[in-house]
Amino acid sequence: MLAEWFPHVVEIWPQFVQATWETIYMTFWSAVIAVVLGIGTGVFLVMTQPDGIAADPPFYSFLDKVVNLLRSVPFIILLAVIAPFTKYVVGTTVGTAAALVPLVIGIFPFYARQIQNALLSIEPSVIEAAQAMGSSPLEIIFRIYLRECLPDIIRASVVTLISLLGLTTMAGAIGSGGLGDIAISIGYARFENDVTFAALLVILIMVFLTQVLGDQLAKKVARM
Amino acid sequence: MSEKQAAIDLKNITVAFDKKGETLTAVDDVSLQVKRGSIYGIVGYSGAGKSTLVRVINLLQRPTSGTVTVSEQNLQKLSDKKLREVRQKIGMIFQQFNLLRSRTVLNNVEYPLLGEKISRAKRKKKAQELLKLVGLADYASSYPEDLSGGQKQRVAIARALANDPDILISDEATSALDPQTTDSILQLLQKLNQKLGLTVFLITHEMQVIKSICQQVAVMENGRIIESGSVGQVFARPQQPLTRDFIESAANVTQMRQQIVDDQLRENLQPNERLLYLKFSSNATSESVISELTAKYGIKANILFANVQKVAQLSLGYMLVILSEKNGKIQVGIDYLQESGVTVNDLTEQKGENANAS
Ligand SMILES: Nc1ncnc2c1ncn2[C@@H]1O[C@H](COP(=O)(O)OP(=O)(O)O)[C@@H](O)[C@H]1O
Ligand SMILES: [Mg+2]
Repeated sequence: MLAEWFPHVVEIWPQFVQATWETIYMTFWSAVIAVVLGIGTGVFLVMTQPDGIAADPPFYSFLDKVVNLLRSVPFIILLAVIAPFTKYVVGTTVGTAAALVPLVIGIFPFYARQIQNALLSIEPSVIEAAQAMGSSPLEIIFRIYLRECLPDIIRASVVTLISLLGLTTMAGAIGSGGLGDIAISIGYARFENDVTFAALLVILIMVFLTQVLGDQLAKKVARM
Repeated sequence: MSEKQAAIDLKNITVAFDKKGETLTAVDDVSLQVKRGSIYGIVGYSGAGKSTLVRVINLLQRPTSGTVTVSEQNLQKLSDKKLREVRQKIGMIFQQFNLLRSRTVLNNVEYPLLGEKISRAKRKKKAQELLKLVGLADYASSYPEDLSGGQKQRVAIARALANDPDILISDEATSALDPQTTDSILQLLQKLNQKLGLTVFLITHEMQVIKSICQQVAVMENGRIIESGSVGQVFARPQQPLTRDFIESAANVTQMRQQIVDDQLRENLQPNERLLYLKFSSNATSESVISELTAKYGIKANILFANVQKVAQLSLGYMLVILSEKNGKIQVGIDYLQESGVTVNDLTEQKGENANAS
């Protein structure tokens, strides 16, 4: 049946499987790095805002602008613009490892903003109560901000992960490998539409799984 | 009061905020001392600067000038780390409860102990004891959102007590609660004051709260303390118009005044009638004085409103009365009332406007 509906996919089967793994690899590792950078940036934004627990308006204003700037660069242009930087960091500009650099830079400001918004849902008076109880800034970050907002953080992560899947396919344009790469360089270039369609199907399944698992997790941690 | 007795000693505290270039003085040169083991209340309208003042005590708000001494320590000289240790000994509760929504009631109470070097089991036991103390032993595994306002405040109180504080600060802790729940929370605070020797410093916009549990009171307006003293003394002999307003509102006199306007009492008075607002302090009991009026002077008294509030062993009476007499001898009766120690305000002539009794 597979051979009947997806003749060209069967022809390149090993390559297709590898592309699927490459997409998972790129998404996973760029997500891991972006989560660390994004949560860090989001926490710094909330801490240093004018009435934050470590208020530093000039630093806040700087960070805020950097995030805005990075968010406004279209991803396809970002890919090209940071190629020299990628070459410097990874040593090459093609392949999955090289794709991580633009992917992380493309996604983490978006994630940081969502983290910031999630953390801002904590009433300032709750933070004040924690300070009154003698909590240190670090304790407030880990025991209040991140803990109280965990369900929101998970939801933001799901949205981000799904956007990230989209970005990995775009990175296919610069030869990153992965399903996007296959869909363009084989499916599109050789008019083998079944390859494009199969790649789309796999990505949709990934999106669906991410969404379902994420929602479950968010529900579970809402009360711990 | 000597320095040693004071749990809280604020000297010349001023807090100024910079608002778009203009200076807003939220707290203006306030000095006060709170005796260890007492319940001290500050009353004032919204915006008077109460919350700002109370946040100076644990330096959540650093004052622009003045000194903050708590339990004989000048807090402004402490390092951040040392200050955090001192804060653990100053419990604080709020109008909005400020519980952690992702944690159970038990975990909320355990929160202040998370940084302490005690075992999990000990921490849990301590939290359970505190929940028992506030009457919520059965709610340990509930979440804050499943509790009523009064229950939330009890959890907040238990949490505030986790580190065995010497002082409990309350910022409008009962303002979001109905009168009955307010009473039960105030009873709890009083119990803690007596049982644990806890010094309670509370702020409120309701004189009712001051009346039920405070020993000392200060009235705050525009960042200043305009009047202070023991509760009995201030209720019996208020010096400032604002203080009088607060005291009368606690005795529902404010409602009575509205009644005068609504019912057009003044407009409907007969020429031989007088509308009087009387205030009795404990030594002049209202009934005997009024019955004397009729017996001695033949003056008829129609009582429209009467209320007695008991404050610090005093009973203070408030009465609205229409006196009528045929032979123009009412003034003799009024003189008699005044001789008997009753404060008399004649509302007869003031038509239209709100009565301005004092
Ligand atoms: N952080 C702040 N920045 C600027 N103004 C403030 C701040 N906190 C309080 N104020 C102002 O100080 C005044 C007193 O406020 P507050 O202490 O909250 O009064 P209360 O608790 O008696 O209602 C108000 O005019 C308020 O707007
Ligand atoms: Mg206030």
